[in-house]
Amino acid sequence: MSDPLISVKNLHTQFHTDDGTVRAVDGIDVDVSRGETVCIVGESGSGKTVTSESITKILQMPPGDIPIGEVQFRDVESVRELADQFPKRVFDVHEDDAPGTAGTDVPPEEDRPGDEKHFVIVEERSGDRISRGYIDMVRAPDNALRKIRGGDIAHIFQNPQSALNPVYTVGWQIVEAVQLHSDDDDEAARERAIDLLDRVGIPDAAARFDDYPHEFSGGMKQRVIIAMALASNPDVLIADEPTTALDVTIQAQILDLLAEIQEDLGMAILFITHDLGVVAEIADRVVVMYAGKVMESGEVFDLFESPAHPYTRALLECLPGRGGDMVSIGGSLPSVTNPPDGCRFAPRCPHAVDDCFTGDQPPMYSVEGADQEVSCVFYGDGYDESVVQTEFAAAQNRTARTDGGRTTGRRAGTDTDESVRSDGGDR
Amino acid sequence: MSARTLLEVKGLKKHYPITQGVLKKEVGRVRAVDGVDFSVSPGETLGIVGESGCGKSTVATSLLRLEEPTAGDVLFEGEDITTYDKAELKRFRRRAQMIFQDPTASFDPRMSIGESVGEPLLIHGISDRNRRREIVKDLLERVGLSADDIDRYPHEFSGGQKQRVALARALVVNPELIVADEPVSALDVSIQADILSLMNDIQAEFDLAMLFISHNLGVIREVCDRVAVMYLGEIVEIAPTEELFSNPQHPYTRALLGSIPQPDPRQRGESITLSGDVPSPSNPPAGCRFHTRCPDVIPPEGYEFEQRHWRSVQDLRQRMRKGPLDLETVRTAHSDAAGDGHVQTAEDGQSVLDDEGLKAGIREEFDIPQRLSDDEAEDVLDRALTAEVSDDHESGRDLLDEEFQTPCEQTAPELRETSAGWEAACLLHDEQRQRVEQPADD
Repeated sequence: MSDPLISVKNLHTQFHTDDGTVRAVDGIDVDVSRGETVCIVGESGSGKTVTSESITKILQMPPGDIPIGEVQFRDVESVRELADQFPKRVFDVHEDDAPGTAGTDVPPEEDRPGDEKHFVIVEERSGDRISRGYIDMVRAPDNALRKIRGGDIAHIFQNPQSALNPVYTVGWQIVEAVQLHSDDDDEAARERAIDLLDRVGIPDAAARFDDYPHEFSGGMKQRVIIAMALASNPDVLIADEPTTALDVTIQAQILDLLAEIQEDLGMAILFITHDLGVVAEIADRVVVMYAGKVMESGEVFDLFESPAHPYTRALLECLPGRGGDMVSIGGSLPSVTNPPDGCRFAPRCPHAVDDCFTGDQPPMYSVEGADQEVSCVFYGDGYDESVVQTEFAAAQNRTARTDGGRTTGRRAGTDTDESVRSDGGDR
Repeated sequence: MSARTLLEVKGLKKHYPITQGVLKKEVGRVRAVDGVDFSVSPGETLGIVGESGCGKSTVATSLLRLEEPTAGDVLFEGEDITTYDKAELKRFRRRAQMIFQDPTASFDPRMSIGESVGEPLLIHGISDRNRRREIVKDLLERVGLSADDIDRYPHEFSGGQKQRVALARALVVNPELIVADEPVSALDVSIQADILSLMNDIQAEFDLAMLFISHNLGVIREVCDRVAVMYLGEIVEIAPTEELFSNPQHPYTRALLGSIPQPDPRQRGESITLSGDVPSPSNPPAGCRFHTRCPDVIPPEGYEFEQRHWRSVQDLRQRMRKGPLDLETVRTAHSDAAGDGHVQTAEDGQSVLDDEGLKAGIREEFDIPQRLSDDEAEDVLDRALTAEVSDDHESGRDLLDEEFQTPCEQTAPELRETSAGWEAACLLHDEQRQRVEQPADD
């Protein structure tokens, strides 16, 4: 089982607006394996939430649109089930004359098996049974996705208040989730719901079963949401900033709970957060996003020990309360409708050279001696990567001086957010 | 920083009545702030930190009399502002300004920022429009914007820029005190650093006193000279920032510091996790308000507990005071704890836990070991659980109440100087002090 459970490949998610096309996610790759926690980290507007919502396509379409990209969900059971249900939309990579390929005028996209209507991709069969394959979530129709959403792939959102219906008891809402994906009768579903509530640490679960959401505190509500997400024994849990609305002491409780549940059930977790502290606490692998692109990804220890991309360094150095001097990155996120050429971070990067401003975002180079990949020209041929492996702050001061020096009293970067204004204001 | 005190708050209380019926009869009160004392000197930044609902924002609004405090004195340069009439209050407000959390909500979208920033000047009597514009332009430049921005509208600015404008508006009347309520929590980390260093610079330039309210200890550490930690309407510890971070004296401060996730995966799992939620401020716990969650809660004399187990037993006891335990949950979710010997098959074919099995299940639910190390304590606990599972909740509850009382719920600790040199409100320190004062007691 070396295949990742979820594999996002070259995903592009766009929103068509009056001001132009917003390229929220612009070609990213993310893999999540069973039993693994992958964190996507980035500032607001970096596209991390859109990525997570593209996986199960729960974003509004239109205006949302996924023109390019593939989201592979490799759960053999789901593949078998959907292959039975949608026989005409199965594509077998070993049968060259697979039904459907002939006579269509849409040419198969490069490297992508089948055409638009094939979403169940079979790669291997042993006898009659499918033994390897995946579901392409981008192509999958809504009635197929409905089985997967909440069933195989569950979501937890940031604000527990708005994820619960205030006019139904929490017990009823969990029973609904249980029965949606199983044939349990009312009595069995109730028992399962109480079991789940207890599992996520709600005291006196049976007694609280008939309580309404407003009778729970914020942390307890988030536990209820987690119980609902677990109702169908999902293979993947997508958690979008699940602790951001909570106090630190409660956040610590919820993070403990997620880790514990993952150990018990062996789920894959895709965790979206802006907080590097939380990342360090729970991640196995980290993906750092900036302006719709992946800047750097890697194993959590390697990434925190030796951040390869200048942006990752900057993010780590600007955390308040580390004791040292605070660094501000200066500048602001580039325009999402009309991104700059070259590396998206180049306009704010103190190391930027001419090559950084031309062409496309640099490819993901692997970092020597570490389980890490980075999109930065300094890791390519003819460059010395040690240049960018210095402190961000020091590099910033150096550039500031060569710029002819900025006035003291204001730190480099206070005359910042100019570019935001020029492209029409508030994000 | 000078020795002169600009602001002194003594015994500040703010209670909100809970009313019922058409006659608005008071049936209880939310003790949002329940007697806090602190002082701020010119040029100094005092931080107030705590979880949501601990009353930190209420401190801010009631000390500026945006809300009338229920009790207490607020001395501003020695004058008690709680006795001020309307005209005096207006004059006072020129000297103390406030910045709020959400920069978008704190501006009128129909007023240009020049009008917004200049409005306090108009209120305080500068009627010359051109002079107002001059002052505003100068200030916009000082906070890192450009003077040309004066005729722009709030929607044209990013969140960080709006917070700069908010700072300019607070500074426009030349105040001596700025109260900032979570000024950076709505901003991204990379912008936070900008605003915080701007605030530090401005404070040094104008020799301002600042009261900085935040739930984020990292931010507090960055800007504050001293920190007051609040829990349920009370200050539990007040100390110079670096000292507080390196050597916290109150168990709550330790827990709060311990639960910040550190951006270092090697420190993973070293956090202290507090059990439970913050209790309701309308009915705060007796004695030390933190004793219902405190990991270091003091065990009663005569019993030897492992601290962790004592905490669990306390959790059980607090739960039993609320009413009979929910045995259905124990039956559905903790039937494994009992072991096979205690599962019996009832007449209808369902398997049922016997009493011993239920007791084991309750222990598991509350994280209490199946046998406590202290035999006497084990005996008390076993008797209480036996009573509980045999439908005699009252006697089980009373037994626990009688035997397992903690000194923390009987005595409310006061803010007293600790051996570390600053004030904390915890009985553990009082005990320590007594031991030092009466060494020959044993």
